[in-house]
Amino acid sequence: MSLEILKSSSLSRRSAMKTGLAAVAAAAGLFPVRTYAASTVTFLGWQGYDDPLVFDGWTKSKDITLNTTYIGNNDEIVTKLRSGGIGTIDLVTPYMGYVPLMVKLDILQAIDRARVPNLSKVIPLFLNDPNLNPGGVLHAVPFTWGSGPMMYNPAMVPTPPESWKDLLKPEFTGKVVMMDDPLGNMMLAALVATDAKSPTQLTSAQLGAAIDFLIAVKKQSRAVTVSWGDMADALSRGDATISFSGWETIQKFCADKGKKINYHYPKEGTFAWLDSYCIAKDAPNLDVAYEICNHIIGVAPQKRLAENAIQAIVNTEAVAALDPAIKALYPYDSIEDFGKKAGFYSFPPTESDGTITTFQEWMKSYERFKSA
Amino acid sequence: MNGRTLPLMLTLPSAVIFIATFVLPFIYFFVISFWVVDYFELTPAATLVNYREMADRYVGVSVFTLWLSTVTALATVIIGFLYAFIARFKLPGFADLMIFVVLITMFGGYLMKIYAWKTILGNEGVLNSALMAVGIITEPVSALLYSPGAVVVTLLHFGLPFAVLPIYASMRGIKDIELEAARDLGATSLEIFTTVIVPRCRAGIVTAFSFAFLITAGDYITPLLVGGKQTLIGNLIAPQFGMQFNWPLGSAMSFVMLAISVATIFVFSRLMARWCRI
Repeated sequence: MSLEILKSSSLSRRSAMKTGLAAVAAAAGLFPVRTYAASTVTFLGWQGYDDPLVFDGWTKSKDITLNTTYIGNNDEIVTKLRSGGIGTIDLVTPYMGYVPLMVKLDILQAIDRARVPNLSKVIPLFLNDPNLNPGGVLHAVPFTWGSGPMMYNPAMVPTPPESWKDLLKPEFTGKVVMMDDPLGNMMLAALVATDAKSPTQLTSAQLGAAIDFLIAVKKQSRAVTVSWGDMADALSRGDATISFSGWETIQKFCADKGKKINYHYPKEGTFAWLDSYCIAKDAPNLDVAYEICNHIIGVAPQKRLAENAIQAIVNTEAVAALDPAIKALYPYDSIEDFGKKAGFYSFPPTESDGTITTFQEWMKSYERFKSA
Repeated sequence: MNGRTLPLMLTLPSAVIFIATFVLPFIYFFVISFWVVDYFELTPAATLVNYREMADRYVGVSVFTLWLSTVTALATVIIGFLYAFIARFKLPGFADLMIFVVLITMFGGYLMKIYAWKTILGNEGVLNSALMAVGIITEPVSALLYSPGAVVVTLLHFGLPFAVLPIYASMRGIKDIELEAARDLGATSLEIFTTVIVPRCRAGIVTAFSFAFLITAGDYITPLLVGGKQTLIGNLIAPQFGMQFNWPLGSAMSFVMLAISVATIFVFSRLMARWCRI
């Protein structure tokens, strides 16, 4: 009985009395008190992002059952919530660029910072990212991050190029590898090939220039891979020696295959990404969703994420507790400098203002790159 | 239950599955191919705009897909035919073993075959290493992997059992006495091959071609993993159902490719019929 009351987000006078009685009974040792009743929480997010929750039996200890649905891309979150998911889905894990769009579509709810005390341990660069705070209100709990650096094989390329444009030089013909990452590729190409103030706010001409640059890099490339794992394979097997865009974790993938691969930020910089835990609008298990949001950025789950999935983490205490070899994979010690080299850019507009190209136009333009 | 209702009852489960998992989705996607997407929502309409977009923007990739699928299907049919021919006519004592070997290869997963070819064809792969070890080449041939050829080889490997089995089944229907009769009537080996064996295998050959062609035309994983920079139409259709959330356009592209595929198979079938003078 008391458990049902605790599940409720609002207390009526009657339920408050019941709660009081339950508390008295608990104090008298009549039955054990648990924080929550057995709850089935619906999680819609990337595979692996739920691992730190189930790790060490945390969900089991809280009587939480995760009903997980894994996504193949961020749009699935939008489409599932917009097609009947509101009121049934509790947690989603979008890329930070999608958060403003999702807030605009009214499918997320604001985060009550008081209910996520571990936010105080989050690196400010991530917590204060404007994408997570549309209208100045936090709507997403930052969870893991990374960027798109240049990956290179130091045995073949002793000194990495200063500029992304150097990949077009003859010495790299047939030695470049790219990943089929539309948004990342276009942001990076816009940074390199246009004078746009933000690589996600492009005119048609700038978008065209970015795609032209991508096509030029593609012509230099050996392969456009389907995943980061495949890019790591291509670098490890010697099929490619340098990359356009990348992911810091690739060096670990390659090290596991016996190949030393480094990363580097060319002078134009690159894009950064930040994935987050968000609570869906009308989440049926709001209290548990908050507890999960708080737990996922706690020290133990964050360490688990860093050590098991080799992902970058946001909790300063967890970073301090990392094994030095794991810590060295990401620029934790120069995080402010990282912020200057890799930008957290907003999502391209979804509605046209007549000047700036929309995401839909980006995707159509990207097909020109894919078909080239 | 009488003799008329029993067959209907026995057919019912498969009919229900077929209708639920193929016919209804097929109708659904055909209907939405005339719809539009408005701000992440499917919106009913009756427009040909998606088909027009297919015609405007995807002809080049469609032609490349058609070409690669035809090459793959023809290569698969020729190699499959040779294999079945040897099993049926040259090594009949080993035929069961040879067909068993073909069946065994079907147990290997699709992705396993792709990754196997990546291991074989890569710069530091088995083939390059072997060629360098015997001194035929001094540097790895990088064109082996991440090329249209790698896509053809991988899909040929995958599709070969689907070619061998129907062709071999057709060949088993050819009785030795038919070949002897042709020989007695003065036919040369080439004439027996072209006027008896091939015509009698026509159904198997067309089936094999259809399998191999459709597998290639609809595939988007193999080009991604071994094709390097190659893009088939499937690579542009898949994102319409994902990142681009444009199911109507994806459906229209799929139906156009389906029509092209059916037309190609029909043309191949007519060419085979003409060869066989049927």
